[in-house]
Parts: sequence; C-alpha cells; structure tokens
Amino acid sequence: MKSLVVLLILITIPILSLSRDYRKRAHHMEAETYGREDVEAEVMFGRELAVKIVGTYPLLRDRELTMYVNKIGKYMALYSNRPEVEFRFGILNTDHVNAYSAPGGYIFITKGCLMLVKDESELAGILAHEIAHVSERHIVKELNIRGESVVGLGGLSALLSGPAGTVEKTLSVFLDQAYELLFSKGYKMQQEYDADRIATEMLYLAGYDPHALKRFLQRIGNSEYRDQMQKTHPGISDRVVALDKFLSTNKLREDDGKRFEKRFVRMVRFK
Amino acid sequence: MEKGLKKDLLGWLGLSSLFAFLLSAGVVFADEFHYRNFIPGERAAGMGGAYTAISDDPSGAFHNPAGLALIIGNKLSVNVNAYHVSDKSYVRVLPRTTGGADDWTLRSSGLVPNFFGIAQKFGPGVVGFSYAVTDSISRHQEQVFYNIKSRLPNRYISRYVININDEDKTYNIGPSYALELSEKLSVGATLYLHYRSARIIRNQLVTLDDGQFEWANGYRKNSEYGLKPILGLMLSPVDKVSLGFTLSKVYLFKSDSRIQGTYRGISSDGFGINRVDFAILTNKEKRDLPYETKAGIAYFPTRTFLISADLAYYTKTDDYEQVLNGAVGMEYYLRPSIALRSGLFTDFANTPKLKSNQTDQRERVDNYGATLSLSYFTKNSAITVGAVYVYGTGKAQIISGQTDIQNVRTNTISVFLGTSYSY
Repeated sequence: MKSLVVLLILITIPILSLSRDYRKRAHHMEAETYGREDVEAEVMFGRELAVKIVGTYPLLRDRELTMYVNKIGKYMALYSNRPEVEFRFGILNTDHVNAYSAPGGYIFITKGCLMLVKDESELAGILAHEIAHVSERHIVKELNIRGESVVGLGGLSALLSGPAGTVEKTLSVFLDQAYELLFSKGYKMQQEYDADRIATEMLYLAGYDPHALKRFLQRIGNSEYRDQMQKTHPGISDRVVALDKFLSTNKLREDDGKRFEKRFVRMVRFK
Repeated sequence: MEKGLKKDLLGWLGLSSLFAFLLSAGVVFADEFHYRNFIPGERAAGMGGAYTAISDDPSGAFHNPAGLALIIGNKLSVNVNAYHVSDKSYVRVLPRTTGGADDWTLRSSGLVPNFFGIAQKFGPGVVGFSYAVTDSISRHQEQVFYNIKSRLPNRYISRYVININDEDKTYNIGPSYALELSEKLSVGATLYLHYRSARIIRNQLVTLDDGQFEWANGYRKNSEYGLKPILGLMLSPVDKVSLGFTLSKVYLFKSDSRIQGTYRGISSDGFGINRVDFAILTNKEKRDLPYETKAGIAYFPTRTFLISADLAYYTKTDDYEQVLNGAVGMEYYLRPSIALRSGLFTDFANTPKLKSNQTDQRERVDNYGATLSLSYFTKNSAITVGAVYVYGTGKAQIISGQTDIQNVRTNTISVFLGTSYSY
C-alpha cells in the first residue's frame, strides 16, 4: 500500500499544469454555440459586473487617455472572434497593477499597470489578453451564463429585469462568484495560458510586435509587482516560457510588427 | 451465515425430500455470487461499465467519486430506468419417464429505476447525491411438470408443482464530495448506505404415481444494513489520457435472516401419515464482503471518440473467492448530437469451482456481457436508450444432498432509458 501511494504521488507531480479540456465531447461543443439571447444575457451580466468593478476602483477621469485606450482596444477587438460584442475600455484610477475583463466586452486596465507599459504594442497585448478572456467566454462558461434555463427562472435576462427578491439574490450570488474570480481566485491556469497565446496571435495579425506581451510580462516578473500579479494569475515565469515556446514554434519575431513607442509616450501622460 | 442456515433447514426438512429444489444451498436467491449485476448510469452502462477513468457525470458517485469534480457545467442530474429479463436454466435436471430430460428455468423480470444522481458545484468542490440499485431479482412464476423420474425405486412423480415468489433488491444511497486539487488531479469520496431487502416464498408439491405426496413450503426474509465508503482518485499523466482508481468495501452493521419452513413427507420415507413438521430459523450473522479495487484508463483522442478499459479486483473473504473482472468501452459521436456507445465486460462468479463427490455446493456461473446505447443531445439535456446482454455458463448442484453436478446457462437482457439534464 505504501509503495502504491508513492507511485501515485510520482505520477501526480508532473501533471499539475495540464489541461482537462480534452474531456469535452462533441455535444459539449455543440452546446457551446450561443444564440442572441445568450449574448444579451452575457452583456447584461457583464454590465452589472463592470459596475461592481468600478465600485471597487473608480474610473480615471481623463477623457483623452481613455479615448486612446479605447482606440487601441477596439482596434484589437477587430481581431477577436466576437464581432457581435461591442468592447468598451476603461482606466481604473488605482496604483494596483492589473487588468480585468467582464463578460460582454467590458475591459479595464489600471493606472498602475498603464504606468509600467513602455509602448503601444504592450498596451495592445494587455488589452488583447483581456479581450481573449471575453472572446473565449471564460466567465460565461464557468458560471454557465445563458439567456435561457438559468436556475429555472426563465433565464438571466429575466433575472436582470425581473421582480425584486429571490431573483436579485440569485443574481447577486453569480456576481459575487464572478467578482471573486477576478479579484481573488483568478481564472484557471489553462485559461490564462490560452489568453496569452490568443493575445499574441492578435498582436501579430494587427501588425504589432508579437513579443510585446511577453516583454511586458518579463518586466512585471522582474519588478516589485510580480507577487501582486501572481495573486490572480499563474507564475509569470511559466507564462513567459509558454509564450516563448509559442513564438518560436510559429517563428514570430520582434520585427514582425511595430511597437509605436513614440506615439504611446505622446498619448499617455498622466495629469 | 445463511449457507449454514439453509443447511440446517435442509437437514430438518430435506432428509426425505424427493426433489428438493426448494431450499437447496445450490440455488441462488439474489445474485450475490456476482458483483456486476447492474451498471448504474446511462453513459457507464453503454460503455460496459468501463468508467472508472471517466466518471464525469453524477454516476461517477458510484464508479469513481473523483470524477464528479470534472463535470462540465454547473449542475447535472441523471435518471435511468431499466427493464430487465433474466433466464437461468439448469440443464436437463428434470428426467422424464419417457426418456430425455427437461431444463428447469428461473425467470426474473421487472422495471427497475436503477439510478438517480445529482451533482453541483459547492464551495471549492462538487457535491453529489445518488441512489443506485446494484442488484434486483423479481421472480413470480408457477410451474407444473408431469411424469418425472423420482429417487424412489419403482415410483415416478406424476405431477410436480413449483410456485415461486422472489423479491430481492440491494440499494445504495448517499452523498458524495469531490475536489479538483489541480486541473488534472481530483479526489472524491462517496458514503453509501447499503440496504438489502429480500423476500423469498417457495412452495412445492410432489405427487407420486401411487397417490402419495410430499409438500414443502418456505418463507424467507432477509434484511441487511451497511455502509459502503468509496474513495476515488482521478489523474492525467499525459494529455488526453485519464487514469482512475477506487477503493471500496461494504461494512455490514446489521443482518437479519428468518426462515419459516413447513414440510409434509411421504410415508415410504418413514413419515407417519398426516405428520407435518414446522420450524422457524433465525440468523443474525453478517456476510463478509470483499474490498473492491478498481483501476481504469481512458483515452480521448478526439472530441468524437474515446476508449476506456477497467480492471476490478475483489479480495477473498470468509464467504467468497477472489475475483478479477475486466471491461472495455468506447464512445463515438455519429453527429455532434448523437453518440453511440458500446462495451464488453466480464462478471465472474465469486464461488469456488464445484468438486466431485461433494454435496450442496454453491453454483458457479461466469458471465460475459455486451452493451450498446445511443444518446441524443439537445442544448441542456440528453436522452439515452440502450441494451445490456449477458450470457453465462457454469455448474450447479441444484438437488440437495446429491453429488450430481448440473450445467447452468444464463441469458439476461436489460433495456434501459436514461435522461440527463444540465443547468
């Protein structure tokens, strides 16, 4: 029995970072097709979650800077697979270093994070990473947010527009779970790796330096903000290794795209 | 131990019995001589029970509780009903006076709601609750045979009447909890309440050609209570491969058995005319049930195809022999909304091989099964129809006190209908 336990531990050690996505069967993929009602529910839920996020960190009142971030973000969103979603971008007025996304296309980057960015391609990479969380419906799938059959109460749409009382409490539970995911629990490791990979693809397609996100992560990894970021994300060094592998496998070089450093410095000036 | 109880009653009842099928130790009441009489869960049943490394639906509570942590979606409930018909034939045990011999066949049939389960995320893990029927026998038959050879010289049985009313079911019900320790390692546990309830009523009247008759009537009740913890582990050493392990055992804490027997023998066997014997026997001795260890592997090469295999080992106990069973299964999606499943499995007997020159030995029948099912999926639900066929052959000693060994043949067909709902 003792040797069996040892064997199990030895088998277990190397598997801690693998995905279990392969368990999904064909009917799960079929079920993952989303209709108009599902998207409406997602946007409504995302809006409520965005209000909660802004309640935690207020928005930075800088119209010019917000417009610039929106321009870059909306440009990157053109390369996502969610044309039906209108992405919106905001800057949170906090020195905390992070970025957040709510279902339905609500994306936030903190002022602290923006201050560590060196060029436009890095900003595009961070926003693309958050766009990927939305386009892959990571929260939507985790909480099974649908336009119908949610908790048997006629769908999330009904929850959000329905009468007060129990339905509001149920919505509140969902929002709390999503909030916990963003601010303390974090996405699943594989979801973060997927978002990094998709963001790098988007950078390349959009004409930005495909190494931008990796470069930004390396900078965070070497800074005092590393632990802060790792509270809700996998180890930065692991993410960099995974991105390195992806970049080399696909032969993506730094000079495959632009950085737009000067434009970024010109546009991003904190008052 | 019930084996001893039967023997006691036979000693008292059967000394002069002409054809004592009635309470022979060799006749199985419930199928306690096999461990895989039902396969709970629609998907598991379709795959021949090769499910230890899959188990990612509520039936995982039974097959491998660690799989509950891997359920896709928030909640899921599964409900399975099975209609089964089982024939067990003791070959050529009724010798005719005109030559040749007839088989004696026991038939069990009935609709059994054999599984219900629900699972949902709770805290960091997944909590489940399930109900499974692991064995069910329901026999209600009346049989009459004419002109059969008897054990008495120069006498034959002109009419032999056997009436049978057997109900024997084993239930498992209880909660489960599973935890995903990492994205590829999960653990889980189920604690089932094990409950078995049996009522066996048998009546036989043997009339000889000279008018003498032997009559025997038996009423037997059994109940058993126990706990069955199941510990499970699920891991993935490489991508697209899953390994599952479980350990379980039924710990009985209460067992009651009661037999009421009435017997009227024939005078040529030393019984006085109109002498009727009557006895009530009780027993509280508990069966010694084995540890069950299962290991399974599943390979998911594509979204539309998977194969799996299981080995299940049951340890030797004071009452039963060790057993090793195997199963293989596959799942293939004909379309994203239609899945075809099939499987093969063994269900070997936990009794020893019968020896010559011994009496009242327990029967040994080794079963081989094949399964096939078809599932249709909609957005949040699925409906499954399937069938399980089991064929078995073996040996038995059906006539009490005799050293003769008979061949046994079994055929069982179960048709099941399952529904599941995810929300």
